[in-house]
Amino acid sequence: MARKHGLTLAEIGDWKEKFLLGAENALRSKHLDEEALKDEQIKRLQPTPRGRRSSAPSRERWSVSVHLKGALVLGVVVAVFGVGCGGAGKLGVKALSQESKSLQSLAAEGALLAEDAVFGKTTRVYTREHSSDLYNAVSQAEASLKAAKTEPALEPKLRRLAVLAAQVRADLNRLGGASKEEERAIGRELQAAAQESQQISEELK
Amino acid sequence: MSKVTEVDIALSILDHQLVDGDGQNCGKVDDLEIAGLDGDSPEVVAILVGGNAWRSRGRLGRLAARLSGNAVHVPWTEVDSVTSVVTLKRPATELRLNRGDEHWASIVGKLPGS
Amino acid sequence: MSLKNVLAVALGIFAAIGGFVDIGDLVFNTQAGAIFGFQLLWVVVVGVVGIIVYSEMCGRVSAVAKRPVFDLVRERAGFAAGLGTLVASEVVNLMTCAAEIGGVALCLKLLSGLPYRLLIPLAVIGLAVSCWVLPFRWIERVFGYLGLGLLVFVVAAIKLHPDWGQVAHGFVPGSHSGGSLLVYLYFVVGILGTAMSPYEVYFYSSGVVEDRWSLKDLGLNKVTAIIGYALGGTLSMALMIVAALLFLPSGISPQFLGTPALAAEHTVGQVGLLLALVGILFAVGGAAIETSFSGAYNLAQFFGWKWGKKERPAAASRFTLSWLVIFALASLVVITGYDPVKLTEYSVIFSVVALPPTYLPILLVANDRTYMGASVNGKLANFFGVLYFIVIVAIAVAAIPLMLLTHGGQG
Repeated sequence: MARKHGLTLAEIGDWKEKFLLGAENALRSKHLDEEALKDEQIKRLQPTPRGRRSSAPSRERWSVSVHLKGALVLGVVVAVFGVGCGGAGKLGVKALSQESKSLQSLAAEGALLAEDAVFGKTTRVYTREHSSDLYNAVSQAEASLKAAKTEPALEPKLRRLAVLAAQVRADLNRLGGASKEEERAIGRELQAAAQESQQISEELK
Repeated sequence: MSKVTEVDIALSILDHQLVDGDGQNCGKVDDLEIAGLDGDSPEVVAILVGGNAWRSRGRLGRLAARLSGNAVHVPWTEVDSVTSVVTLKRPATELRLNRGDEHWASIVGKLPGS
Repeated sequence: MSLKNVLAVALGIFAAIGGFVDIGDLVFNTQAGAIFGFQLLWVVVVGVVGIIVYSEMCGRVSAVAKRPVFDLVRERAGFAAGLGTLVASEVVNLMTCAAEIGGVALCLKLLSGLPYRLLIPLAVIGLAVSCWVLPFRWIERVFGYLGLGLLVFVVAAIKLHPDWGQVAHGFVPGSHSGGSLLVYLYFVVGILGTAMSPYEVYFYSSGVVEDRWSLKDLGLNKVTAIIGYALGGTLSMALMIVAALLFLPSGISPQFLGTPALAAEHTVGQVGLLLALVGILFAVGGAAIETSFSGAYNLAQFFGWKWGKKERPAAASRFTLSWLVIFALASLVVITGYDPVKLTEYSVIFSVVALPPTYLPILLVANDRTYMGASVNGKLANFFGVLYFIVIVAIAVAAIPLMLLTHGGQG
């Protein structure tokens, strides 16, 4: 059969509409021939179990959701960047309270680590590495506390937190290579620092 | 009417898996070449696999097509059977399918134990 | 049941338990426990049942149709929708893989003290070599068995003597003392998301075809999978309980991968620490492999390439290159130094958003008689399948707003 031109799917869709309309007429006149040809087709190909159901309608339905997904992804990317670039500015009560809770958490975790070290529950490597992770987090917190500004009424609390953060940072720095005695002392200091941070966040409520 | 049967079958195998004569995967039915639209007995001439066969599949399809080479034309006569997969008579290499695997095998093959 | 069968099931269960937890479970369950105590335990149960329902469907589809579910997405939904699903799942796979690799590197750092940035390429090379050398089932076994170190958390939970009555209360949803409703809902979404990760079901589905399981083989595996997932879920619960008992009272907010290990060492001692770290290492490492392979499977199955570990690497070279490239790209993401724990939070939330388009094909194909014949979903499978799909859509819609409103669970 001479090839006239290749067809795209979209053209096939159009063609199919037209053809199926004309198919009924064709059917009546060509009945016998078609049967013979059909038999040959069936011998050559097994029809799909799904028969001749067109999948075009379901594709249209699905393509809508593809556009929605695209819009959603775009929206998410924008939102994430917006959140990520959250500005630094004056610390309010809530922000200050969060800073003190965060410091309490780091100090308490450090205290737990120190306590475990005293009782030989940990390994040298783990103590060094985990205290170093805690140290990095507190360093960041301390830096931002030092640079932060707040309303005059909250100034004293901000300063207390900054001092506390410096203490915790120093303790965590020492924890890595400390002896058993030092570990005990560090543990107690960190515990005290955690309690004071908690105190500050209580006061801020 | 029998041509409608054939083309309808062909349309319902769009995006289905192609399996070669050895039972190996060799791509999907990415598009179809149908001849004789003008006449009253159109016929599926070939299955198009890969490459710029995605031209007709929307914007992403066109982008993908531009980044790919030419599609492989698999004549309809090469089709052995049509179930949920389309089975071909001959091995993929004889039909110039799975060239991608051959192409990248030269790199992957350099690693030990491949 | 013969002894050989019992042994096979038992070993399979062990592998499934050890392989259940990934870095998402570690992060979200520990944080949930540290904020809300036992009050989110019920969510773990809901998540475990969900993954059992959809894994069963996926496995049945693959055993009967002899093809994995993703292979059928393009046939069923067409090129455009299939490509959309592919892109979404690849993005999420990459993020998750990166988070898991970061987790492996962190574990290695806590065990060895070597620098983090050096350990990232070492971790990836180790994982890639394991995948290259080991046959398919052996990868799952090795990483699954060694992940059993996480059982130390169950021991820790028991040793801490919780008020079991209070723990039981956690299985009834309701109160959310300790945090706002929004933060509570954020963790509901996160815990469900990490329990029902899409990559798990797609990996399982491809695995069934890799191993050429028939329906008969599947029957045995169903038991293994169900018990394995259920017991794996207890690991997640143990993480939450331990965090509730040790971290909540002290106000410790877990932000490091090393923090759960701290709980293990405090309760069980040095042995506990090592078991926890090794367990985390292999559980998370196994998950890294699953995500990278899942990504390669999806690509190959969308385009119709040859795929599978059963093929020689050079024979299915595009598939092989896919999982190698995913490992490479994921390690690039991690080497930027972005905190893996934060990366985990994002990847879990994004995979929640990707849950509906990845789970819907499973439900549709499992109901399609032309693929399934007599093994189509019965009333029970459909009841739970549809119920969970509604849940999935709800959390997918809520996920990003909750993440933004709660600043990633910080309130």
